[in-house]
This record gives sequence, C-alpha cells and structure tokens, in this order.
Amino acid sequence: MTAIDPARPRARHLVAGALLMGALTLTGCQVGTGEIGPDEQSTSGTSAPAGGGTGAPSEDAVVDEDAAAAGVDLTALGEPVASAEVPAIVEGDPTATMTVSLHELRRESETLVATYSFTVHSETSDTEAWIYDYLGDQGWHPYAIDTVNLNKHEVLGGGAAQTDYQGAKFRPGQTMYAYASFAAPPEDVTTMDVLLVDGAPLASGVPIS
Amino acid sequence: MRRVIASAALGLALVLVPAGTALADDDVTPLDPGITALDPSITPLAPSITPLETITTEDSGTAITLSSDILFDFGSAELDAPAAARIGELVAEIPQGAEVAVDGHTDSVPYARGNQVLSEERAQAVADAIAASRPDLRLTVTGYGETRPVAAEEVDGQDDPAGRAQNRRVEIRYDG
Repeated sequence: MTAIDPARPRARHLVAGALLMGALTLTGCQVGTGEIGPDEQSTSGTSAPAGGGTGAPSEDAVVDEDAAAAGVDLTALGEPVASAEVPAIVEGDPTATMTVSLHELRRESETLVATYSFTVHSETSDTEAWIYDYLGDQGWHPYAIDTVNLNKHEVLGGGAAQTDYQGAKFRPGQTMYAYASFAAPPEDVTTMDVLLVDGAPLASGVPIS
Repeated sequence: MRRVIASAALGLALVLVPAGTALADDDVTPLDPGITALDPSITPLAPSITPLETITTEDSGTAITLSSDILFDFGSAELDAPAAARIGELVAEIPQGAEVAVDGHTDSVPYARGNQVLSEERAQAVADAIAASRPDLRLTVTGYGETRPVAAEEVDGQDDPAGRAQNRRVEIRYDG
C-alpha cells in the first residue's frame, strides 16, 4: 500500500496522466509514478487520508489503479536492493539531493526489466521538474554489466525501452518510478552490476529475480 | 471501395502497357503507399549488448580497446579477477617480447580526483594484468585523461552518452 500526500492533487493528476501515456507508448516497460513521501516509499503500512469528496476514489485507489494500468505493482516492489544519493539541480537550493533506488532486476524471458525510483530532497523548493532537469540537463541512461561474460547491456531499442527522463515531472518529496529494459544475460548469470545514475557507483551483484 | 477499384484499374493499366514501352518515372505510381513493413518495430536484442573488447588491425599495428564501463566501477581503477583473466586471454597472441603501449582515456565529465589521474591508474591496472600473464612484454603505460576522444560527446548540442562511453577506454597497442 502506498501513502499519498493529499495536499498535492494537481501534481498527482499530472503524473497519473504521464503514467498512462507511458503505458501506451512503451511495450514491456511502463512508467509508474506516485506521490510517496521519501520516507514512505516501498514500505507497507497505513495509507494517508483519502482525498476528494464523498464517493470519490481515494488517492490510494487512484494511484493503485494507475500503477496497475501501467503494469506496476507498487505494493510488490519491496525494499530497494541498492540506492545512491547524488546532487540534484534545484533552483535556489544548492544543497538539494536526489535518491535513486533500484527495486528489482527481473528476468522476463529474453529481457530484463529494472525498476527504479527517484526522490528529490529539497528544503526550500516545491517546483516540479523532469529527471533531466534534476540531473543538470543530462539524460538518464542506465545500463547493466554482466560480470561473468564481461558484457555491457544497454537499454533496448537504442534507449527507447525505458521511462522518458523528460516525460513526467515531479516535485521534491514525491517519488517517481521508472523502468528500463535490457537484453537478458545467459541463464547461468544470476547477478549483474547495475548503473543507477551517472556519477554514482555501480550497484554490484544485484540478484536477478 | 471506389479507391480500391481505381487502384486496381491503375494496376491493370500498368500491366497492359505493351512490352518494350518505356515508362518515365513520373508515370509510375506506387501501388502500396498504405503498406507498412512490420520489421522496423521489432528491436533485436543483440545490438544492445557491448562486449568488453574491440580489436582493430591496421598497417600501424593492432589495437585492443577495452570498455572502462565493463572493467571498472565509477571512479575506480580496481580490476576484479574475471576481468584480469580476460585481459590475459586477450594478450596471449601478442608476439613474444613485443613492445606494447597501454593507454588510458576518460570522457570529459569532470571527476573529483581528475580525469588525468584516473586514466593513468586504469592504464596501470590493465598493464598489471598484462604483466601477470605475459611478463615477457615490454609495456609503456600512459594516461591521456580526456584529451584524445574517439567520439563526440554531444550531438546537436545534446549530451550523447554513447559517445562518452566510447571515450572511456583503455587501449592496448602493439605491432603485428
């Protein structure tokens, strides 16, 4: 169950739309976003109070439906297997940072699907932006290393099979979920090293589920 | 329906042109503008996998280019055992006693300890792995930092990660 900050309905609506668009335009790799507090992501527990009037779906329900439409089960993500904190470019806040987490690396036949989340931390800003903006006008280009066969696996389709880093915007304090698809290594390869974000160490020995 | 009939008629007209009658290009109407090939939407998996090494042979000699992304973690110059072993395999065929240049290169993204230092350390790490398996080779180890890129790191003003990745490399060069 995901906890939602009901004070930001506009942003929630925005990311929901982006989520649906991602589901429609990407095959096998969908976008998932949710307004989850940085300390609440990937935890199970009590939901935040529902927004909207009587009879309206709760924020939780809306997010869960959006996630399901995109093939993202936020309740099953579990704890991140690796996280990195990097500086985030946020106007007016030179101390802002972004936590990038890898939740799973899942084998699906001939492909691997990696699930990431991004949460920006800022004491002063509430302005929404893309991942591209937070990274300082840099794209997000994850990859995975097969340390057994010494191969680098880049995102399929020349980088197309991943969440668009200029797709959905999100605010500091919110969490954006992202996917990237790679070619799977041979069956006997059970772990890979995975890049979370440029400028951070590789996540080593990530188990393939 | 009318459009189908018109197209069919045009096709028939083209077929009935007497043999030996040349048609100017302007007279030929494509019959299949509505047909879209399926295969452009299919993404092969293999091109997204890059091997550790690229080997090129020219008149000036042989170059084995190793991807730093596969060999090293970010900001690191430590080789793990499988990588060192693979380097040993790659240099097995170098002629006995040959002079070998081991050159380290980085991309242009600033690095806290300096790209020059990192390129030197990585070149030395690869040289150590070579020396462990081929102590007969005469090695010259050099770091060039970001000064000798092999690919543009921006395309049309946009960051090009593929170009940066190509520039992060260690080259092993020798005659032969």
